[in-house]
Amino acid sequence: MWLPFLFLLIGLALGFLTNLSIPDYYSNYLSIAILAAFDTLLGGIRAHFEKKFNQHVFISGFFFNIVCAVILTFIGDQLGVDLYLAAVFAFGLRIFQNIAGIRRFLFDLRQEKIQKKMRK
Amino acid sequence: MNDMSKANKLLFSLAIAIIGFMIVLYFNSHDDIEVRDTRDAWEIRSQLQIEQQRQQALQAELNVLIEARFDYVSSSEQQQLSTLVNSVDHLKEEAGMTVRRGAGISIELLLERSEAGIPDGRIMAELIQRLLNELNAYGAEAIAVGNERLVTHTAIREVGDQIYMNQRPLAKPPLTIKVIANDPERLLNYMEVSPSKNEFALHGLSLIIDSDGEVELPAFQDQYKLDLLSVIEENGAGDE
Repeated sequence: MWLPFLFLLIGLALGFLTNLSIPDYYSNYLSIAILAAFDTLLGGIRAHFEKKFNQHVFISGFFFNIVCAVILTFIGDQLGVDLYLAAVFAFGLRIFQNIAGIRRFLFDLRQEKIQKKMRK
Repeated sequence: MNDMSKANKLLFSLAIAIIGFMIVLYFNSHDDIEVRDTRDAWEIRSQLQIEQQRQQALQAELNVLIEARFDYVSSSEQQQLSTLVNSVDHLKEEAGMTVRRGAGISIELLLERSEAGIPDGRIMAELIQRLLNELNAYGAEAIAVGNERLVTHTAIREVGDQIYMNQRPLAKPPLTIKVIANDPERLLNYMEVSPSKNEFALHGLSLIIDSDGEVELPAFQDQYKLDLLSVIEENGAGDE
């Protein structure tokens, strides 16, 4: 359980230590990329709970989603249409669905534990 | 998540690390550029002095208002009325709606003969505005150009080949500008060396500045148009 936290800390520290910053103009792209990454991560966790997790799908999805979202935002920028809203909408919806799935699974897990205790 | 294989765990952790990195990147790029305070001690001190003076002025103003309110609250109806009338008179005087007499200077605008012959006597509105700005900056209390009193919302505009002030045309030069000041001597000295003299000279006009003791300023003759003004209800900073 501690490994993800450790890596989160590593990621944060890396960000703070390198002190990188991107131009304000590109912050839209970055936020979309963050959203895409979140979506894939939550999807992966959910798939894991449902025992359908596949490493290759996860890795490819992680980067493919990010690239796709950024490209979509870029095209939207060029066309003058807020196409990134489509990505926000899709990812937002899926994030909620994934969270709901995870929550339901955790409830089920707890229920099972309680029932096991009762049987004892 | 106990049954998660090590590889999967590592994968998730890496994804989380990347997300963390991106989030930090995002917030880093939103940092505003730090504005450095490059004032030295002297500048800070003089700034402080200016602020203190402003505070004193505001305090004095506040005291007058509190006094008026006290007068109003703690007296009979008759006195209340007279307090109100006094306040109104005071405000009218401040707004420039009364004739005002006082120590001050008068500036006469004269046409100058130049080599190019007699200029047509046109003044530019901007020239007058600059002159009035300068007068105000050097401590003028009340100003009148010709017969027009300068009030808060006076507009000086060029209409065709004439200058309009308070929606009425100004006379052609010679034209007299009267100024009441707390310290006419100082204002006079400032105006003698002011850049306005040169600016008017460029347009074929000369300024003759007199400090003739008492000047009389006409009242603002129109009604104040305050239809579009409204009271701000919310408290500003420092009101509490």
